[in-house]
Amino acid sequence: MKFPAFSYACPTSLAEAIELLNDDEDSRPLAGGQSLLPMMALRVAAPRMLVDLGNIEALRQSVVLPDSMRIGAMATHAMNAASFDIWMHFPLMAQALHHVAHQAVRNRGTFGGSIAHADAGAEMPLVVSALDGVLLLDGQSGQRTLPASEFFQGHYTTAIEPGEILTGVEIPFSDMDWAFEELSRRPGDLAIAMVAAGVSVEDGVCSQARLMLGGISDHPIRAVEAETYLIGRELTPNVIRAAAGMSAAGIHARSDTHASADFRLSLATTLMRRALTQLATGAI
Amino acid sequence: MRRADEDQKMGVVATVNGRERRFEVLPRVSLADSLREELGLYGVRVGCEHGVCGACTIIVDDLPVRSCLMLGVQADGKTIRTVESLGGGKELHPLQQAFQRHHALQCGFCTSGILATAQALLEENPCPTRDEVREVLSGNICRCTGYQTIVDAIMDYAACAQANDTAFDAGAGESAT
Ligand SMILES: Cc1cc2nc3c(=O)[nH]c(=O)nc-3n(C[C@H](O)[C@H](O)[C@H](O)COP(=O)(O)OP(=O)(O)OC[C@H]3O[C@@H](n4cnc5c(N)ncnc54)[C@H](O)[C@@H]3O)c2cc1C
Ligand code: FES
Ligand code: FES
Repeated sequence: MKFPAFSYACPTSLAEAIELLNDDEDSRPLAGGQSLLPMMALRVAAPRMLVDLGNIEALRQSVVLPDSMRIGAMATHAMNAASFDIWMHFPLMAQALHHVAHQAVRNRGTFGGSIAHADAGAEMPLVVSALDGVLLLDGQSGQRTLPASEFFQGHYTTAIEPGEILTGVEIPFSDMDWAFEELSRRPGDLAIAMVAAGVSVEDGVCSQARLMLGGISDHPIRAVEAETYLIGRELTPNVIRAAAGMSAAGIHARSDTHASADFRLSLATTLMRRALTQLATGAI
Repeated sequence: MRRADEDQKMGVVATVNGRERRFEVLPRVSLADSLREELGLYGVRVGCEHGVCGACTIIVDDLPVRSCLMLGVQADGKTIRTVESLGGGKELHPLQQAFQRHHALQCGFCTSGILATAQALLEENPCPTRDEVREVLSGNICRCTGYQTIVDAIMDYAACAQANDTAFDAGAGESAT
């Protein structure tokens, strides 16, 4: 359908954008428009005003810091997929970006938009959660930061307050090895289930582990029990099978037209087993 | 700052198919509809209008994008190419000729979006593998052909271009064979 009517502003500074968003409580930031505009076409959303963030140059920039990288909210998926810094420092993110939508959507859709939108089947919220990213927010009452674990609250639900803008995400460098696995119906579709697994192996045994599941529940879930189980163990097929089984246990999985809750849990186990196997065969 | 109320048209200046064009649109009008209705570029197809079918794919600042998921007002200052620019707009481009030879279209509704997608791929990667072509096409839906002939046409074009050592030239009009 055609979009419902709205007024439009295209500020060139963050301060102007924040002011516009606070002037009208029914206004929404417009990033790449690859999720917001479809929702408007489908009449799921009908904001009175769109504040286009596309001309705020500062939001597009990413910087490498001594121990972390700050990725700008308005960096597109295509820019990030082509970024040497991301490829070098966050191979997990580079792998996951291959699964985000199609070229034409990646050319407009943004990193920040994907995170602010927080679709349960989107890859970037899982990546940011797995890598312990810190979300940078700016609003009328000033700047604040939030860890990913407090930011993602549910399908389409985050800790962003009305009138606030996500300016970027600061992601610390990780010394673990990472693997990403996903199942979707076609390349470029949102994930039915996906996992991110990170491990460090020292003297043949696992010394650090981070296991995250996405698409299963309404927000990224960390498999703490399975992580603890892996520590001090060798990544043998039996250990991997046990950890993969543990990682999906007890999750309240969602059920929709694409997959039932049971199928999602079974996929989670399989994908986690594949990810850990990939790490074990590469890392040991 | 550029801004407009919901019932207020906004002026846009863009380079469209090599020429500077000016038009005025309401904020709610998509770029696809702006190009069709304001500039008469009916080669831009509007299918699903929410980003999933790829029929409306055009090239903006050298990158393929969904023109149903951009606003007309966002075209200001951009360089836009639609299917009308292929082959200089007069003759069929060799890529279009390859589509004709391989029966890569039936109703043709998806074709301009697929051509834009293929054009962007070939500009970046002149000799793609069959798998690469299939992956790029995953964002475009065709209800008629079953895709094989589309992949055949793109591979055939790429092979000819490689044999003649020519890069993708959107303005080319003579036969490639
Ligand atoms: C056909 C298709 C397939 C897709 N497949 C995938 C996929 O496989 N995986 C995937 O992850 N995504 C997928 N997407 C979505 C795509 O990645 C979007 O780019 C992304 O979800 C939203 O980013 P955007 O920049 O387009 O945001 P927009 O659509 O502009 O905005 C989305 C929401 O976030 C808010 N917002 C945006 N930026 C900010 C900000 N900086 N601060 C505060 N709020 C903000 C907006 O107000 C809006 O509510 C797909 C989209 C399409 C059309
Ligand atoms: S009309 Fe734009 S993707 Fe379908
Ligand atoms: S030729 Fe009919 S949809 Fe592709």
